[in-house]
Amino acid sequence: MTQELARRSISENLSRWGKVLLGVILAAFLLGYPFVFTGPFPQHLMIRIFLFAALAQAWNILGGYCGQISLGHAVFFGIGAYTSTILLIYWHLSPWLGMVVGVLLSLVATLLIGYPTFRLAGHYFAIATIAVGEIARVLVTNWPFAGGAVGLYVPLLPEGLRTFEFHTTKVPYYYISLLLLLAVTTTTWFLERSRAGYYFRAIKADPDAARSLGIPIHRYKLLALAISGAFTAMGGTFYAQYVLYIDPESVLPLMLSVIICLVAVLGGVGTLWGPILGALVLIPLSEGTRVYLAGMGGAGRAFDLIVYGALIVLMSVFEPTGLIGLWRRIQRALEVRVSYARLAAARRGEQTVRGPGSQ
Amino acid sequence: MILLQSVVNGVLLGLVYALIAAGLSLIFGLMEIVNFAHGQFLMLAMYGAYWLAVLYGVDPLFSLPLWTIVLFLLGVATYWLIIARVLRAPMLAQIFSTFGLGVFLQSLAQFFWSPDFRLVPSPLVKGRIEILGLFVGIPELVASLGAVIAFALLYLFVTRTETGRALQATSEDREAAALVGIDSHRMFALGWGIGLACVGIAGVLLSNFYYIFPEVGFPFALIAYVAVALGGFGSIPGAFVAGIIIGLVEVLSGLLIGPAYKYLFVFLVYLIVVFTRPQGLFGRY
Amino acid sequence: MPALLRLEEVSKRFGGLVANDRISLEVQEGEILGLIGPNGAGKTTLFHCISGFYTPDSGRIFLRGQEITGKSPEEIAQHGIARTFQIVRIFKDLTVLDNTIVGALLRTRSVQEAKKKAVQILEFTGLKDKMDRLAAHLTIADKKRLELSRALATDPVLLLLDETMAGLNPQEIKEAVDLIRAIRERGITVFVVEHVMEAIMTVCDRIIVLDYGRKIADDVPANIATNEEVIKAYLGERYHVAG
Ligand SMILES: Nc1ncnc2c1ncn2[C@@H]1O[C@H](COP(=O)(O)OP(=O)(O)O)[C@@H](O)[C@H]1O
Ligand SMILES: [Mg+2]
Repeated sequence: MTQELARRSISENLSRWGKVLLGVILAAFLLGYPFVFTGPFPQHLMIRIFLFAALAQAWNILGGYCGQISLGHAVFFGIGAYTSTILLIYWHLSPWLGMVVGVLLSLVATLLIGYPTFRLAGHYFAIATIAVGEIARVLVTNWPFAGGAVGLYVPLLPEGLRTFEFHTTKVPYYYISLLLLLAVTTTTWFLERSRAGYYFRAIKADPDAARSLGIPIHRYKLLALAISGAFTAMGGTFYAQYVLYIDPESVLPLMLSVIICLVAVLGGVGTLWGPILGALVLIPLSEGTRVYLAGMGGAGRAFDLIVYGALIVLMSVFEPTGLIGLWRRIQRALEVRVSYARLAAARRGEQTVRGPGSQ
Repeated sequence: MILLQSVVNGVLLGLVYALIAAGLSLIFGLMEIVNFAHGQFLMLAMYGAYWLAVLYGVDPLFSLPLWTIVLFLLGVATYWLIIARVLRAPMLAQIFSTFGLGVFLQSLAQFFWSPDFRLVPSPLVKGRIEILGLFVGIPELVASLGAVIAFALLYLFVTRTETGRALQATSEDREAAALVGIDSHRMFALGWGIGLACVGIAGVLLSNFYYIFPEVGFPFALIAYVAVALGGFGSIPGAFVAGIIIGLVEVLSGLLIGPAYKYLFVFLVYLIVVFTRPQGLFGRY
Repeated sequence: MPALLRLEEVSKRFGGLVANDRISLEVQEGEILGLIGPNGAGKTTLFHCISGFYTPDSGRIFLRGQEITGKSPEEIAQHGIARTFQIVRIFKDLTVLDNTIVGALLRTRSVQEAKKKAVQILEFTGLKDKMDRLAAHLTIADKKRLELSRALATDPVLLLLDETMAGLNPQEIKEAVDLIRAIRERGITVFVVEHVMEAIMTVCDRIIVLDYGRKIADDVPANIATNEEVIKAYLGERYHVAG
């Protein structure tokens, strides 16, 4: 009885029109947000939420669905940021084209990184990705052409969609980052329902069993990494054009890789909404504490990480499925109560009880 | 001559790496969990030694026993509070439980103690001596000697004492050990205690000559992962040899190619090793 | 008619231990072939060799005359050999249906089609009622049934079953025996490792016996039961004998 109920979440019971309505409201909110909140901070906040939700969603494809824990995703972010910026500085190539080249290079990196590392299981793979990330950071830091440790300024060009630069307003950045998030989320949605999505989950659950069913696990891991890395590289180009300055410490540090997966893990890995939920919670938290404690300089900057760290430990110990898992558990608890109420009502001879579970 | 000098420096450094790696390896060998907070515990030990020296004038050499014990207790506490709860959890939860702990400790240090670089003021062991034309820093020498002693004690403990053998038995076959009445939880807790005690000793010894800052543990931990993978996950003698190899690689590549690239080569060695011999040099599987 | 599967002198060593010692055998199309032997005789190792999880140190393996020695497990699955594991390896976090869909996706790209096929298979194996449950929540018997369903969903020509009946009660064993017969009715050849003697004696057309990695008998069940060497191999080994 409860087994049956557990399967049907409240959202599934929402009527079709309710869902459409919800979608319309959400869309209106997202589209209208920059016109309601015109200040730079709320817009900046939302842009960062979108960016990190997108990065975490991209990480989620590899880490959440396919079960390969990467702690080196900053490599792809850095590839995106550096490729478009270097091409713009030296060859005056449009950042949009730079983004495309960045994605292509991220695919090359996928083969270089994935081919050897995917032979490693579990913890070994995680450590190898840390090593790869650090190698990339050290290389770029010592590469004068790429600005070395000093970094690179994105040349200031007349603002506009063509140049991918906006100096007087953040609104275009808002929509571009929203689009990025939409793109990777839609991709994930399709993946979930495709053969690749099933295969990813099978590989995560038991690679040997997956092989016994004819799944070429190496190839599918590479596919997951390729998709994941490509979107992460796009995020890197976006970041470079948004901040207009990049250096190894901002686009290639281990901490970036860490935060990307923390967002996903906190929200709930292997779920469509987890990374978005994670970003909605974590980014305001980190931006808020950063602003609030700005007076404290470097020390203040660490406060959000204290909270991150503690949250992650608590989550791993008590709710490894993340906020999504927590939410589902609450939902189930509610539904069981609704069903009890219904049962009680039926006993009293009433017809139905109004509740989230009723039609 | 300069090459020989580097070799000596590399070995000295490698011995300290070996001790840090031994702690990590011990834990992994017991329960197949990588302690991703290893470097942060090292950092805590370094700060511990620093603050006792600054606030109460206790030289690191004298606070060494204290911090060894404190780190041991921290290890036991970490096991019972966190690790014991994720032993059966998915790998993701295992990775992130210690990873989150590391982020937490490091940012805590940054928050309370600021990101500044610090040095223990005028430690007892300082300066350098000349042996056969080679210059050796005394603190480095003391650190590596300390590491060798700690290593030897660890090895004797594991191979010669009743408890140590129980620890080894648990590491080799958890179920079989449980059958002969060894409480694996107690062994795991002990493993964490000893693992972090190793880190505590290394941290205090390093504090004599190393800059102390919140992120200081990170490269050490990375090197320890490399050493453990190189030596074979779970193998303590493997960690010893690998630590020295890595110390040599680091110093020699720093000398021959450039100091900026020294870690690069350490990581390259790691990648090459795990791809060609995933079980490491001394791996059991 | 050539054999469906043919092994020529297949050997597999672990250090000094010879787990499979020059084993030659044939599996005929449409039969139910049993593989028995005391614990540690090398049965699971042989299945690992056939299914590609181990590469034999020497010897060759042919499927319908085509050599498959040393191919990867995924390639061998594509060739039509499906298997179950001695310790069940279902995808715990996936539902029963999704587990089976993963198997069915070997022969089609379309998830819709795979789903249709998976439902049919689950109906056949009797798990349809439970198809929305998480695999982790099933009983042991149902988990084994699910692993079997998942393997069937790959449309195999040969099914390797490694102790699918271990840990089942008599009623469940009877159901499993019926299921194996029904699988053969579908035209799938079955090669089964089993410890439960009464089951294997009744269900198999022919039985091969391993002892210390060597093949010591290859005969119909009636003769196996009276074979001197087999009885000797089993002395001191606790096992279930029919009657
Ligand atoms: N991966 C392995 N490494 C070392 N020895 C193994 C391995 N797998 C199996 N063995 C050994 O090979 C022999 C045969 O094992 P197995 O095939 O599992 O036997 P069975 O399935 O007949 O009980 C046993 O002695 C076992 O210990
Ligand atoms: Mg077996």
